[in-house]
Amino acid sequence: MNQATKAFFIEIVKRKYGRPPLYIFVLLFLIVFIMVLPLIHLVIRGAEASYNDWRLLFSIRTFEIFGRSFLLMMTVTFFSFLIAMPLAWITVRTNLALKKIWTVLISLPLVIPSFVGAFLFDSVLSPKGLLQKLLEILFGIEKIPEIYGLFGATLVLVLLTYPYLFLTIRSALSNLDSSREDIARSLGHSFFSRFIHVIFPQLKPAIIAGSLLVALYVLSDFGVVSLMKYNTFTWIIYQQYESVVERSASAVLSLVLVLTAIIIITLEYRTRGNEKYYRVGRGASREPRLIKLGKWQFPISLFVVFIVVLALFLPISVLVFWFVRGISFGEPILLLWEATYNSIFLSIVTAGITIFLSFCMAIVLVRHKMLINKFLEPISFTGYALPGIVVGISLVFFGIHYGLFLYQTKYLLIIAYIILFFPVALGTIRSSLLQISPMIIESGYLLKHNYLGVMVKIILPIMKSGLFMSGAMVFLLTMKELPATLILGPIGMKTLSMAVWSASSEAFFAQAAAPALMLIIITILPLSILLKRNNRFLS
Amino acid sequence: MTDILQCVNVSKNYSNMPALDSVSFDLKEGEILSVFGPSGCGKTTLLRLIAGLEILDKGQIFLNQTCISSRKTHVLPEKRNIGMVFQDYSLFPHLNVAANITFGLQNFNKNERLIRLKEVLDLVKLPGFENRYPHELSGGQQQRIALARALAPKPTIMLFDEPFSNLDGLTRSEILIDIQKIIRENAISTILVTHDRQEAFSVSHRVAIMIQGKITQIDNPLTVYNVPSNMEIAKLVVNCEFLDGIFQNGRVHTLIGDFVCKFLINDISEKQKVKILIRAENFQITYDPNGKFKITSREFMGTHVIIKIQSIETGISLSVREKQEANFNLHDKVNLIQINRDPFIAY
Repeated sequence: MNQATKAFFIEIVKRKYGRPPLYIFVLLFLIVFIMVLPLIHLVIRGAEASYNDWRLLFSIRTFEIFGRSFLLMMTVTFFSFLIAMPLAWITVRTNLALKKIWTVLISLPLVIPSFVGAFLFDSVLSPKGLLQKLLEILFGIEKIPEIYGLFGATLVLVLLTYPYLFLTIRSALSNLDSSREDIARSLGHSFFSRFIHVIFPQLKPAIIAGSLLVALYVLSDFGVVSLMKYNTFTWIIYQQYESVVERSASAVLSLVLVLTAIIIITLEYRTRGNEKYYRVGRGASREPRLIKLGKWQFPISLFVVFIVVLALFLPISVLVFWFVRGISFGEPILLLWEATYNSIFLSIVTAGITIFLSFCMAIVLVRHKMLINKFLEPISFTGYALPGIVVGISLVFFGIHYGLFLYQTKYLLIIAYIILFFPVALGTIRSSLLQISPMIIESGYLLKHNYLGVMVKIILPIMKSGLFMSGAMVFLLTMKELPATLILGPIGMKTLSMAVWSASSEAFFAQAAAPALMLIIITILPLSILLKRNNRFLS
Repeated sequence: MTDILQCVNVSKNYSNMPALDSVSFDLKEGEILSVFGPSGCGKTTLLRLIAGLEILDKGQIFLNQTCISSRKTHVLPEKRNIGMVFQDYSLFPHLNVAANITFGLQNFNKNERLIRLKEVLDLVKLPGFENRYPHELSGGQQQRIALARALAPKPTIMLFDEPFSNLDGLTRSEILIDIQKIIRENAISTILVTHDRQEAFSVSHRVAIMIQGKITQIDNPLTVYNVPSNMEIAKLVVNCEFLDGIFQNGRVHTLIGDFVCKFLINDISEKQKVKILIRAENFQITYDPNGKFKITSREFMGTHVIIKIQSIETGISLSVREKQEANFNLHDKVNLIQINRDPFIAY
């Protein structure tokens, strides 16, 4: 090897493990700056908080709120698992009729935003709701038990969140190497014993990851708990924020909420442990033999139908009912177009910027082994632990104090969205970047392309579908976002989620139906792309 | 010796494509049988049928003279007491070595389990590995543990499905020798499925050749190697070439000479066209400036060289195996000498 080639190889090694160009650093700085804003806010507020505010932290009231949030989180996660686990099993391992259609229908409640689901169930099950009216006509029943509180919140949240667990368990289950089960059979283990000792341990990481998604969803949910009148963190924080007087108290509660989320994430991270669950062999994995349901076909189909009707057909038909009723009562549709335009505009801009920023971050995290990565990585994922309401409130604080030119503009709202959804995009983009062999990139350098050239001509085209998927995901999440939108939406601007909220919180269900329906129709498209391209997108 | 396993006309279809077509054979007690064939020929399906992991379409399988599989009966895999070792080891990643090995010892009490665990760990030469996890082991070690796990419940027979194909050359030959020793010394009846020729021929008492779902020859390795019963098998089991010839006056006339042959076709008549199986070790070459052949390539194989020659007159090519030190160069003119006078195999 002569001197010149040697120098060239050293250059390549430096590029792989060394520093990225300066403009990447500028972008990194920008990302970190945006990401830490909510945390800084919490710290500043905490420092400003008076003795009384801090006493609030240890008060019985805080403890009660925490207890309620925690209880809701546990019940929802538990019941979601109870629904999702058998459904995943049935759709992967048995010969259930129409399996593909059922799988789609089971996952579809994902498109129903929590506040839409909440108002639909509210309109049916409330004391003077549709169910009561129906029962009055049929049997003359004038009063039905209230659903508000833990029961109603759990019911609605379970029906909205079980698809997250379903999809993660399902994808893990269909990737399981059936040869381990075959071995267990040849060693004399029955079906039940195989499930407990072989299948379940291998599914554990997926179950934990899916449960984490559900738990965080519940913790940061705002729509359901407020309409179901169950006083958890988010709902109380919002009330305090609205009341203006108690703003530092709301910061203290936010701090507790964020800490709870961080603890849950850390616990999940810990349980992942050392165990390696990947396939060792290179041989083709055999499709496991499907279990013939036989006489169980009918009762099991009935269970699937029951869940799909309750979680999907019921809410959608109630929505259509209110929509038709709204039209026939002459609800103005005009406002709808403006809100639709605003929602789509915000979602597309957010998706674009988020993809760009998370791509830069992913490049640094994957391709450059630098010391600051240890700091960049946790910062990148803070959004997971930050409920929309907390991000909204902190950006208001910064808008008022340091950025009046941004306050009450769309841009501040977009920044909030970026903070919230950056980790989601980064997760997908990073995993698709990890699949590109460093050798491909090195051969790009060997063929004399510079950093930017390699990025544009090699990495981006290969990652196209990964980028597209994360874009679809961010679009979907932005469309459905409520609390940050409520707090940061500029005066006079309406989005679909705001339109649904303002009508449904006043129980004008017919008025809420049109924007809600529009929202669902628009989110179906990106969701179907996601489900089709890769049903592991949630894990 | 009694038959421990018998397969009678076993057939299996996958979506109307026959994967196994009327396969019959038996396995004697303590015997090692290799099933050898190209990938996709149905070897693995056969193993899975014997293990009970698939349900057969036709035929019967008997284990110790009891029917375990037929159209009417299907003994569940967990009731068969058949040990299996897969290509990908399939160790349980969440269990340590001890728990993996004792996984099939549900009917043993705690003390018996510990004794058996120690026994099989000694057998596979990995004593003291009880508390390791699969991901802490090398490929060869994982395979040894997989073997120990399958052996622990003392299975009636052992099935190996391409067990060594994920191992590198050195580990592979080492573990091959060890496993052969273990199963021979303990007289464990074994079926080994493989697409590696050397593996199939080196360890087993008998080799079954499987092509497109059928067992086309089953015999001891020497016979299968020396007298492959048809051309397809010959191509699979030996490095060989086929030479066109015509049968006349008890000899076969070819472009490179007349030979005495042994025919593996039912009847042979005058002037019938046949093909002769030629192995590289059948001929030698001598240097001759007026020779009828010229050397077209020379490949160094370590213990020997393979030299390709071409007839100047007719253009026919042949491979010849020569000693390592044989000093021939490309384009040298040579003549061909037949080494021994044994009859050639012809089809």
